Amino acid sequence: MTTVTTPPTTAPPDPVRAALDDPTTRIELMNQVVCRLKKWLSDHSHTRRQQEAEDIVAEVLVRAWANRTQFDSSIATVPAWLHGIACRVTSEHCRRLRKQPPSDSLDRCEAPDDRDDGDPLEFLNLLGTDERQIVEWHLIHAISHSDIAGRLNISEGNARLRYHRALTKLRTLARVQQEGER
Amino acid sequence: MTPHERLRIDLLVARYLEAIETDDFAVQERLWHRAESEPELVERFRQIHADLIAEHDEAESTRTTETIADVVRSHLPSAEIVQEKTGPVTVADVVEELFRDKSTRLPMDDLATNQKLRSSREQLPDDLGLTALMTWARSKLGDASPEYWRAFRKVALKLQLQRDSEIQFQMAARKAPKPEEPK
Repeated sequence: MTTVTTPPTTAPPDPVRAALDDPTTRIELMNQVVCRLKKWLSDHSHTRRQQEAEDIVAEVLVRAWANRTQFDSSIATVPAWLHGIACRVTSEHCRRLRKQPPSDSLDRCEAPDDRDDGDPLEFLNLLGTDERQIVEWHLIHAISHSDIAGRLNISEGNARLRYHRALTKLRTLARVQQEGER
Repeated sequence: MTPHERLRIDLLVARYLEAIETDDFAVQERLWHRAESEPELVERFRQIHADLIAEHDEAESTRTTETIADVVRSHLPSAEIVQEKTGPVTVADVVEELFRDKSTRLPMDDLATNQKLRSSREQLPDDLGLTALMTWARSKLGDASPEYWRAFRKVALKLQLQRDSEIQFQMAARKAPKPEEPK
């Protein structure tokens, strides 16, 4: 009698499943959702916000699992794909919470991110002293956010947020200037 | 990464932060779509989430502390609110204490200097000997009378000792590791 042995088949690892099983994914998604909800539910308790965030993250995971076949690893990474879903689910949830109509401005949806607003650094002198210094230190002298935090006696996260808020101001100034010239 | 490339990424992160702060869902969604092909953006956006949460928690904690302090001030006017400070002693800490200390009478010029230094975040030097302190202070903080620096030094030493003892107390009060069970 002959016995036929088949080599053990190893299915290719499912990246979506691996990400969904990873507890870090859940934490990162919670962070994203909590950031959004803080403003929308500022008049609610911390516990209520936490519950809402947990509900949303649960829905994200369910939706990601249901649509896992649509994930294409050649065009996206799993974390970015999951955060994209979280973004949509949170928007829907926020609209439900405030009973607001769906996203209004079509033109805003189609506004390009990369449109050339000129060189924002041209307007550096229009920023306040602290903001200008932070941008100069980080962008021109390549000083890290943690070193800037040490110099200003603030937290690293705060230094990072101040830097990005200053960049937003510069972008706005550049845009206003360009629109004025048109 | 070139400086131009760094600026491009930083501007996208700034755009994302603005979109979160203005509740612009469409831009957020589009930026996440974009992050699908730029893994660096995923990390940077996540960092922004963590920073915003930390900032919000800090603001909430400050609000709570202020509310409690207000209640104490209005209902227990004779109580003193002691704010525990951490980290190295700064010039501002010393100046604030000098300002509060009624036993030290400073001449008008020194009071003006004191007022000017209230926002200085400069850390005190390691050597708090009078001569060393005065040399350091004149180069870093400007001129004041020798009496002022004497009073400054006295308060600086007091605060430095207080801060050191707080650190030692915290070290002593830390949780001891559990002794290992005998096998």
